[in-house]
Amino acid sequence: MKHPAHLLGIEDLGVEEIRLFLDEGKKIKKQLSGGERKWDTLRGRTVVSLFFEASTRTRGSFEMAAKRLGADFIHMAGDSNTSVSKGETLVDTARNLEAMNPDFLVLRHSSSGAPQLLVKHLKIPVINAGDGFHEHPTQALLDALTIEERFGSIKGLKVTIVGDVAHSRVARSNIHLLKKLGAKVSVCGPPTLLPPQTEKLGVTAHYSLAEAIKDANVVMMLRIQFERQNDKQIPSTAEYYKFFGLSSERAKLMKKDAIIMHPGPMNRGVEIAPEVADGEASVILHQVTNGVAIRMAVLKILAEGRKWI
Amino acid sequence: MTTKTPLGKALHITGAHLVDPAVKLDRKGDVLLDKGKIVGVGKPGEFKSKAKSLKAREIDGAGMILAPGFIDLQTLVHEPGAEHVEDFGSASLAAAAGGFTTITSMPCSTPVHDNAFMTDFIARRAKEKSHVRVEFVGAVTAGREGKRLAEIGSMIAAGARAVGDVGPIMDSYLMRKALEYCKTFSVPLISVAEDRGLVGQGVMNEGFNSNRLGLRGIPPAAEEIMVWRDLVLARHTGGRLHFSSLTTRGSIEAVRRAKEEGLAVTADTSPHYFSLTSDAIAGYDPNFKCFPPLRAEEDCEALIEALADGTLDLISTQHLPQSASSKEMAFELAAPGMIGLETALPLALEQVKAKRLKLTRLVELFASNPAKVLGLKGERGTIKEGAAADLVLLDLDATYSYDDRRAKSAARNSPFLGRKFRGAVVLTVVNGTVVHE
Repeated sequence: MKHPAHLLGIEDLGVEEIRLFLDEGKKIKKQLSGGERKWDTLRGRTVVSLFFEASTRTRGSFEMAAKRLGADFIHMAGDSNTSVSKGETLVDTARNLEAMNPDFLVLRHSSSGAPQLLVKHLKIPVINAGDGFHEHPTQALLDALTIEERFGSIKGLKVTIVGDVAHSRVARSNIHLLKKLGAKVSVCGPPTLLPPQTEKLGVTAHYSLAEAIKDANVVMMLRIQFERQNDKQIPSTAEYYKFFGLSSERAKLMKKDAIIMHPGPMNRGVEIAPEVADGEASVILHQVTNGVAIRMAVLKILAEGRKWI
Repeated sequence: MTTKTPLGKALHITGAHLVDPAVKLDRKGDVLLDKGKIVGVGKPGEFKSKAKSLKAREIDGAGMILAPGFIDLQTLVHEPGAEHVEDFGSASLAAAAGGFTTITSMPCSTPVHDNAFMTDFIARRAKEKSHVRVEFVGAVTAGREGKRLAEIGSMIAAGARAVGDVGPIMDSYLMRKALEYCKTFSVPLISVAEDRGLVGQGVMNEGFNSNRLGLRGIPPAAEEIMVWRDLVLARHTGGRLHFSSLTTRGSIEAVRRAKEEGLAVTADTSPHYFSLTSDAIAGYDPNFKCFPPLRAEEDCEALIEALADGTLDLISTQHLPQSASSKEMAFELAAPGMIGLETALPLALEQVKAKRLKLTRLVELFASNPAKVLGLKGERGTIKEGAAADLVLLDLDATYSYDDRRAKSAARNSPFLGRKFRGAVVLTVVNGTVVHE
């Protein structure tokens, strides 16, 4: 089957393509768990990451993934450390970097659609590491891998995403992927944090956390970003936690074998209680481990598509 | 319980004409009250022996109307902040005298009621001082400044029943967010629709009168523009909206259309708006100064029609006490507002007398519908077994003069002082206890 040329989002992927990434990721995870640390798969290749927003997990695991596969890795911090600060455009920046003949460009940008823009101008594979609040495909893939590890199959599972869904690329990519794989998805938060016409995404909206989590197999918590854009959406983080925070009492309402996920970074005590984040049901750190395996899979699959391996 | 009035001993009210459209009650009958609840609503004589065994106080209601106690959705008592002008104590006596068994404390206090600590504090004050029940409305925005949301959820959890800023939220983005956020807690947002820019420095309705008197005017557009804006946002968000004190024909037409469309909108007006026009300001008497301002004859007509046809759901008093000195000023500098708890009923009865409103509709406007808006349907504002023993006994034929001696409010800013009225409150019962007779 035809491998994707880029990875820009989940919305345009078919189920087979998603399975390609997930199954490869599963294989690699097994090998990593078995102690494998270095492959030669991408020896001689170079991955360039161009990030216009801060990142710990995504950036770290792309670098880890590239290096485990034997590739070289160059990170460029977009705004302050490149000539973007001197007025150079995104397209010029990318084309100039491409002129140095790297093999992959991993982009994180605060504008939705930035990767789509670059694809028009570049020949090398572009991997979206998060664009605005549009998509974060590798996050959704690693989340799916984590869910499948626990439940075997995603089909028929009830997944609830809680928090600022309206401004979350993690939520969007997850909603696309989970629905494609047959899960029942609901979102929960005050109406001000849920996207307009939420039902059109094929998800159920809940304004009550208790309602939203009582039947869920997976509860995915999102970070509340109480910076300027949320100034008018919620009165305070204290009130948010009071009604939508996953406290230990609320967590007791969940099914016995349900799992709690979070893409990170967490605001302990805002969207999730510290003891819940570190508790038995939490798979948050597993997600991070799976992130390396998934990003290795993504690099490998795209390389196969280009017939480099 | 947010009243100091204790659970009453048994009361047996006999021979009155019972009116409660919420349960289709419009006939002669007897009512038995005990331990703060209505324990029996029945035929004349039905509870004779039970009343005796309860050692109930007997009240003869012959020739009178027994209605559910009225509920005011717009009582603007500054407690805390201006207790010397009027506090929950005196306001509640005025309320009881006017037939109101529940008043709604709007967030016009200082400090602003925009957080749960204030809800607790005001509830405590109400419990200590108020002879009638008090329901609380919290602010929509922090400090009522219209810049960001107040902790609405926390106030509702602490007992508030609705939110409102006692003034417009000019930022449409924030108004939208407020309507959406309130959906989380299923409470209405009470809107005072006025565009501050168009109000400008106006002090009375814009028209021939303001022209003649040399006073700056407030055009009906100032209200109508915000009514339309709020309705469009209500449609867009699916949020629940209640308009306080609408005053113009244009506003009524807008609300009528919105209701035809099925939007979750309710609205009220206050008695001075359908009983007076800006003609009354001819003598520059600041007791006629209010916001929104008194309007024109055609607006009064539209309001009365709307009260009858359901476009307006209820009557609120907009009871706004002011000190004598703040009213003893040139019209444009005087404080706005009128007290209204004691004159709301007789002014509304004038419309019943003029056959513009039915008595049953009046009870809907004063009791059934306010209970609905506040989420108290079935509990209060109704005469039925199990409901709160909050009732009012009315003598529609009694005439009296609303004067300084009779008035119970601590404030005197009413243009109706000295006026003769027909239709008196004979007895007001809260929690099964008589608080006014």
